[in-house]
Amino acid sequence: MLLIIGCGSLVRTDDAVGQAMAAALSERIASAEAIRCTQLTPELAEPISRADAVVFIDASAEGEPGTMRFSALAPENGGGAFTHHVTPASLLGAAADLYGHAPLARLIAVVGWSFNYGAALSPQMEAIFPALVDRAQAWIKSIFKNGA
Amino acid sequence: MPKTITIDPVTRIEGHAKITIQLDDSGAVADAHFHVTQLRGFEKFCEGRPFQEMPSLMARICGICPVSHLVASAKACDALLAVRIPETAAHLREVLNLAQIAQSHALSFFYLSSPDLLLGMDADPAQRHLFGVAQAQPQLARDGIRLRQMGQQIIEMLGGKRIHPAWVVPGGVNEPLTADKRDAIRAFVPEGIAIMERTLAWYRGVLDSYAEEIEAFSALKTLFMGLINRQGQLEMYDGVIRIVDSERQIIADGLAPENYASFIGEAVEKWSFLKSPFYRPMGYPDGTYRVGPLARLSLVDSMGTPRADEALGFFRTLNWNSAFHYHYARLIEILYCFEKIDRLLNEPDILSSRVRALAAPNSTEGIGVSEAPRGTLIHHYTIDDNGLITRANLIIATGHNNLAMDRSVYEVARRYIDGTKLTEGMLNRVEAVIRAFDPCLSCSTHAVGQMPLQLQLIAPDGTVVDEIRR
Repeated sequence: MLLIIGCGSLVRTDDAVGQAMAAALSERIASAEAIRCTQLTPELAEPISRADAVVFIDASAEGEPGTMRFSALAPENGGGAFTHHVTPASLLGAAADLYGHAPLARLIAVVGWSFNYGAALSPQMEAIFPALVDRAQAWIKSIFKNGA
Repeated sequence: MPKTITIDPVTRIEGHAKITIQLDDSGAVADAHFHVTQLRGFEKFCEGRPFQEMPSLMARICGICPVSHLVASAKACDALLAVRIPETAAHLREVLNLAQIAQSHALSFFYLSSPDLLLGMDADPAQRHLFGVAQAQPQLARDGIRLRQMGQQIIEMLGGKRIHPAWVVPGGVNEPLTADKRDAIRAFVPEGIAIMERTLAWYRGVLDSYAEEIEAFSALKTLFMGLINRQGQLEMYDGVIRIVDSERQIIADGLAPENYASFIGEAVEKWSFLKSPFYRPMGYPDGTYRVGPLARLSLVDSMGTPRADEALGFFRTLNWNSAFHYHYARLIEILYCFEKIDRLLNEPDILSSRVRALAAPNSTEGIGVSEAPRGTLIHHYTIDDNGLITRANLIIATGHNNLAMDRSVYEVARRYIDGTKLTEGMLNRVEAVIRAFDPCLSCSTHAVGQMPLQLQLIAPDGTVVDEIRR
């Protein structure tokens, strides 16, 4: 099972792009399940441990708006994890420590235009969103098909 | 030469606060304060809003205990409608509230406080977090995570989503419970009880290691306040208010929650944005009281569920004045929550379709009171003829504890702080007494764990005498 975790606020315009992409990709990829959340929390370690692979998707404020960055993730131990701030790498570490399995993991960061208050993506993000989903789907397919 | 120590921010609590400790010429603690440094303003900005919006608006006060605000706010709105809601709706609201109390208590104990209890007050701060617990004792961390999952899933099943559910409405709830959901929720109960019995046994085993802190945290004597039912048992949703003194002697009983203003006064101190409620008949600050798990268990005659009552027996052998025992009380309450959820879901009418009383406003004033994870929660609204809010007064559980937390900081600082040389362990113990109360200063928007802790010992001329950073 491929687990897609989309993270971000639904009332901060483009910060919601992670959740939106997780929903869209899980509809397109038969083996995928999506978890949409406002923030990463320690409870995610358990479903992560049950996945064959996991993709985290989050918005980013750094870089050229509309671009995406793809990166690999490795488990880390600890690192100031409390209730409000947990990193993907520390979740992978917790999955390994607590449940014995940290799956292959990747991160997609989508650079947004606006993070102001708003319940919809920015018009610019809305316009390119289908193309972003296409590209993310192709990347996920290439990565996990090769088992890289 | 007098000096001041500042701990800013206090870590592993919900919200923003700092602690200052004033030293005298000899380096001994002269005074100390707990400062709440954030202002939310909910009482003001909801003025002019339709009262029907209040439950959803008020739930936004908090991302950890939104259900408590939802419930207290809906009860205040019930009073504005002047309706008695269907019994099934009251039971369903209580199940939701209990699930939230269980998951919030689990967060407090397993995520925020267990690092101190398992790894030690003097452990490396870099390891004092849940993932440090995960490496040292994985079963304890798994249990904490599982309890949080179960509580959140129950909230989601009933309310539609885990945070800020909109299911509780003025007059009841907006959808009856289905048999499938009832059975799914009841299926969690055996696992929840098993986890809690395992955790209580572990915790009783480590208590002796903290004899010094337990004693140090007991210096403050206060009243205790909370809701009870007609049998004098623990009550989380409704009931009447009981107040006992530090010897557990009842000094007021059967107080109607809607008359809270007659026995609770609200003072303001210059060092904090959090108001300082006090028991009015004893004046300020003699009327300082505590609420929450320690208070509730200190004032009830019994818990009202068999396993929690058995655990209460051991609690009665402890010094209930020690804020350290908030932790044990919190664990017993999680056990109670699972037992009570099971009992409520076994009520014959729990699947009834009659779950909401519909009415127009019939009163211009409404007060709703329930128990939140951290203590008694009071919402008080007045409306105009158009149903718009003209005044809102909130006394949130952490607010009740404000004076007690402030004085506890002083007592613990006096015990542990040596002004000539600071150590990490000293400071962590001062923070730990605050953490025992589990204050929720505002959990909806903040990222405490990301911020550094900086503590400086400063001379009157501005010279930094000593400094510790995290």
